[in-house]
Amino acid sequence: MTAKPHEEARLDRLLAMAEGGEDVFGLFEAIIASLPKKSEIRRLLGEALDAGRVAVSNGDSGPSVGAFAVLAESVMHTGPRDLAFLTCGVGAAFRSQLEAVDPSDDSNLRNVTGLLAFTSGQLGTAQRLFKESLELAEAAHDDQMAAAATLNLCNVARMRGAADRADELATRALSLYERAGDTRGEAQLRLTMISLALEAGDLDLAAVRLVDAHEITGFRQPDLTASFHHANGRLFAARSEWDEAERAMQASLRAARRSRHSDHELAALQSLAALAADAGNAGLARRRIRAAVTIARERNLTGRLAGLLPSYVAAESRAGNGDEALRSAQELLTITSETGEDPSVALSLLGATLLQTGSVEKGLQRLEEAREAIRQVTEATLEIAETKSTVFHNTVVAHRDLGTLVDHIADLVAFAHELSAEDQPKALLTLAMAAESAHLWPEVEDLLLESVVRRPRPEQAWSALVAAAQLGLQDSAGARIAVLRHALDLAQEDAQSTMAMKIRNDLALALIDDDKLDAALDLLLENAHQAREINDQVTLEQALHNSAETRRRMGNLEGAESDARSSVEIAQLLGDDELVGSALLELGLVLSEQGSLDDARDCYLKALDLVDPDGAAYASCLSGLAGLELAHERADSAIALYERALRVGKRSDLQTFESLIYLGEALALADRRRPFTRRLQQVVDMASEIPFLLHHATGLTRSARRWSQHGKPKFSGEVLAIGVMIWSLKSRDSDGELSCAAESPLIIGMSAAAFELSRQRAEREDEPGTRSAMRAELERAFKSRKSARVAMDLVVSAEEAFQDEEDGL
Amino acid sequence: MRDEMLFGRPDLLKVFVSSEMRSGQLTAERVAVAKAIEESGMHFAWYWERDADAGPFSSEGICLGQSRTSDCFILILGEKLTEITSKEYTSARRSGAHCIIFTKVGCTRDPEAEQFIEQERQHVTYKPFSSTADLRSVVTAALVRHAVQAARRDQMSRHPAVADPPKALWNRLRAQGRR
Repeated sequence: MTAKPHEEARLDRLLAMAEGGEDVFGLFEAIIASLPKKSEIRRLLGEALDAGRVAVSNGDSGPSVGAFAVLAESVMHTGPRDLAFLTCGVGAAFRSQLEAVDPSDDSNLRNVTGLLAFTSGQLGTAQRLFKESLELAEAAHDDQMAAAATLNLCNVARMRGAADRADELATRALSLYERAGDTRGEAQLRLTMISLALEAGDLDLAAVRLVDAHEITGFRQPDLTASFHHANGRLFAARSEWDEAERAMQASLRAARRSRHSDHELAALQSLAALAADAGNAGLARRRIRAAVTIARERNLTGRLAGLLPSYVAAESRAGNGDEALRSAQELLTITSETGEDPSVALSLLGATLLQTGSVEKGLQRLEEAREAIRQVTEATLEIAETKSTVFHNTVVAHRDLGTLVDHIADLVAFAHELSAEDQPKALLTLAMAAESAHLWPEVEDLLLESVVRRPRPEQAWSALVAAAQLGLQDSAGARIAVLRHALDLAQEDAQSTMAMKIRNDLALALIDDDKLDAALDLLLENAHQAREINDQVTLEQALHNSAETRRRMGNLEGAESDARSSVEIAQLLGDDELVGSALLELGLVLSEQGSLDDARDCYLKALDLVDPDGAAYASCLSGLAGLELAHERADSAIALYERALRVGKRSDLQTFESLIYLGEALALADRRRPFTRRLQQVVDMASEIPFLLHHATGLTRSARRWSQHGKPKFSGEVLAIGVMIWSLKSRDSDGELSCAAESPLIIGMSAAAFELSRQRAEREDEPGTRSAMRAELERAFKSRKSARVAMDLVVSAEEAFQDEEDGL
Repeated sequence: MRDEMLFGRPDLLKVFVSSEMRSGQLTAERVAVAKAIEESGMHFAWYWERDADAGPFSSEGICLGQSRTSDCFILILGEKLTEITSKEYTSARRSGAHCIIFTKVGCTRDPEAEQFIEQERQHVTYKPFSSTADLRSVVTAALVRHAVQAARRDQMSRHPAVADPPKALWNRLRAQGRR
C-alpha cells in the first residue's frame, strides 16, 4: 500500500492548524488577501478578524472563539475548504490567547473542527473532537450544543456501521434538541433519524419519521429542504418506486445547489447515480458518479470522495475504462492510507481492477493484502463481510487464471471458512466450480458436498440439486453423485416427494455419465413406478426417456425402443413439442443402432421440426441424420449435415467434439485431406476438456480405416497415433504417471488402434512379424514427439495391446 | 406508500401464483403449485386463498402489489385469461420477475388466452401439464432451471473479476452523513 506523503502531510497539517497550529494568523491573512477585493467573504472575515482581536484583548470569547466557529461552519459548506480549516485555526488561536473561554464557544469550535475531520474521512479525530465538544457543552448546560455534538457522534457511529449505537445517540440528541427548543437542529436530527431507519430496513419507521421531519422543516431553508427531499427519495427507492425517487432526488439536488451546500449537492448526485444503477441504466449511473467525483475532487471533499470511489471504480471498470478504474482504485487506497481507515475495500477494488486489466499476479498480491487487512478488523459489519466474500471470489479467479489453484486449494478452503456462515456455502460452491475447471476431482466432490451441508437443513436438498446442475463437465459425475445421494436421503426423510423424484432423475443422469448404468436404471424405474401411481405424466415421460438412453447404452436395444416409444406417446399427449422432439430423437438413436435406418431418419426429420433450431437437441438430430448418411457412404451429404450441426448455437462442447470426429470420418470417406487435417486439429485442441468415451476411440479408428481404404496408410497411422496420444494424456494420474488399468482411456484407445492394425494386416494378408505401413507410421509419430519416454511407453503399450488382440484376448 | 411497505420481501424467494379463480376450475392446481414451490425450502408461495388478509385494500391492489414484488411469477392457464390475471402477469414481467406459464392440457381455451400463449411463449418459460402431479413436477423443474441459470449468470457477470463494490458500499453511497 503506497500513500502520497505530501498529501498525507498536508491533511495532517491542515487538521493540526484547525486545532490551533502555529502561524495560523499569517496564513489566514494571506488567504484573505488573495480573495477578490470586493468579495463578501473577504470583507466578512477581515472584519471578524479585527473584531476577534479586540474581543481577545477584552477577554471575551464570544466574538473571537464563538464567532470563528460559526464562520468556519459557513465557510466549510460554501467556501474554499482549506480556508475553513484556517478559520477554525484562528478560533483555536484566539482560544489559546484567552485566560477563560466560554465552554459553549469552545464546544462549538471543537464541533466544527470535528465536522471538518469527519468530512475528510478522519473518523477517529472527528469522534475525539465531538466527544470534547459534548463534554464542554454538558459542563455549560448548553443543550443545543450537546445535541449537535451528540448528533455528530451518531453520524460517526453510522459511518462505522454501528447501528444500535447510532440509534441510542440519536434518541439522546432528540431529547436535547426538544429541551433546547432548537427546531432547526431538531429538523436536522429527524432527517438523520430517517436515514437510520432506512439503513435498518424499517421502512414503516422511516415513513413515520419523514412525516415528523416534514412538520419541523417546513421547506423554509434550502439546505433542510435538500435533506428532506433526499430522505424522501431514499424511502421511495427502498420501495422500488423509481420514478418518484428520481423526482425527489432531483428536487434535493436543486435545493442543494440553491443553498450552495457542496455536501448536500454531492449527496443528491450520488443518490441519483445509485438510482440509475438500480434502474439498470449503467451509463447514466456512471455519468452521475463521475460528476460527483469531479466535484468531490475539485472541492477536496475526501470523505465523500472515499464513499464515491468504490462505485466509480466499478462503473469505469464495467465501461471498459480500465486505466481510469485503476487510477481511481489507487486514489481510494491513498485516501484510506491518509485517513488511517480500514484499507480492505480499497485493496479489494485495486486487486480486482488489476485482475481485470490483466495484471493477475499484482492483483493477487493486492487481494492477499486485502485479506490480511480484513483480518485486522475487529468490528463485524455487512460491508466487511461482503468485501471478504468479494476478495475470496477474486482470489479464486486469480489462482484459476494463473493455473495455481492446485497449489492453493487448501488455503482457499481455509479462506472460505473465514467467511460468514451465510456466505460460506456459496464460496465453497464457487471453489468447487473452479476446482472442476482445474480437473481436481476429489476436491470438487468434497467442496460440493460441504457447500450443501453448510446450509440449513430445509435448504439442503434444493441447494444440492442446483449445485449439481451447475457443474458442467461429465468428469464431475462423481461429485454430482455424492451430493445428489445426500440430497435424496434428505428429501426422502423429509417427505419432499416431488423434489425426491427430481433428485432421483438428476442422480440417474450423473450415474449414466459415470457409466453406472444399472444403478441409474434402478432409480429411473423407481421414478417411473411412482409417477404412474400418482399420474405424473411429466416425470413418467422423463423416466422413460432416460431409461431408453440407459438401456441403449447397456445394449438392450429392444427395451430401449419400448421405453423410447412410450416416451414419445406421453410427450404427444402432453402436447409439448420440445418434449416430443426430444423423445423422437432418442427413438431415432435407438432405431439407428438397431439398423432400422429409414425409421431412424423419419424420427430425426420429425424431431427437427419440433425442437428449438438453436438448441442442443437440434444439433443432435442433424448429427443423427449425418450418421445415417455416413452409414450409406454418402459423404457429401454427411459432411453438409455435420457442418450444419457445428453451426447450431446452443450445442454442447461434447456435441461439437463428437461432430468433429464424425465429420473427420466423412471427410476421410470423401478423400478430402486438407479439411480433414483442419478438423482433426480442432479435435486435438478440444480433447483435454472432453471426457473420454469409447465411441470417440472407435470414431477416430474408423477415420483411419477410411484412409486405409483409399490406399493412404500413412494418414491412417497418423490418425491412430493422434488418438492414442490424446488418450494417453487422459490416462495420467495427478502425478503424471501413466495408468495402464484395463479401463483407462489409453488402453481402450490402444485396443481400438491395435484392432485396426490387425484388421488391416489381415486384409492385406501380411506375413506374421512384418510391419504394416500404418503401424510403421504409428511408431514414427510417437518417436517424432521427442518425449522418448512417453513414446516408448506408448509403443510398448501398443505392442502389448496389439499382441493381446492377435492372441484373441 | 404502498408496495414494499405493504408487501415487504422476506428472505425466501416469493413466488406469486396466478390464475383465473372465480370458476373454481383451477383450485386444486393452485394448491398443487403452492405445495411444490414450498417443498423446495427456498421459496414461498403467495396465493390469494391462503395469504390475502382482510383489510382496507382492494383485492386488485393487493394482487398487483404482490405480483410486482415477487421474485418469480407462475401463471396457471386454463380456459381463459381474466383481466386481473393479465394485469398481474404484466406487472410481474415489468418489475423483472421470472415468469413461467403452465397451460392445462385438454381444456378449450378462448381466443384471447390462445393469443396470449402464442405471444408470450417466446419470452418466458412455458410448459403444458395434464394433472396436478404433472404440475408439481414441472414447477420444481422450472424453479431449479431458473436457479441454475441465475447462478450461472451471476458467475458469468463476475468472471473473471469485476471490480464490483459490495451492496453495503452502494448503501454507503446512498447514505447521507451530515450534521
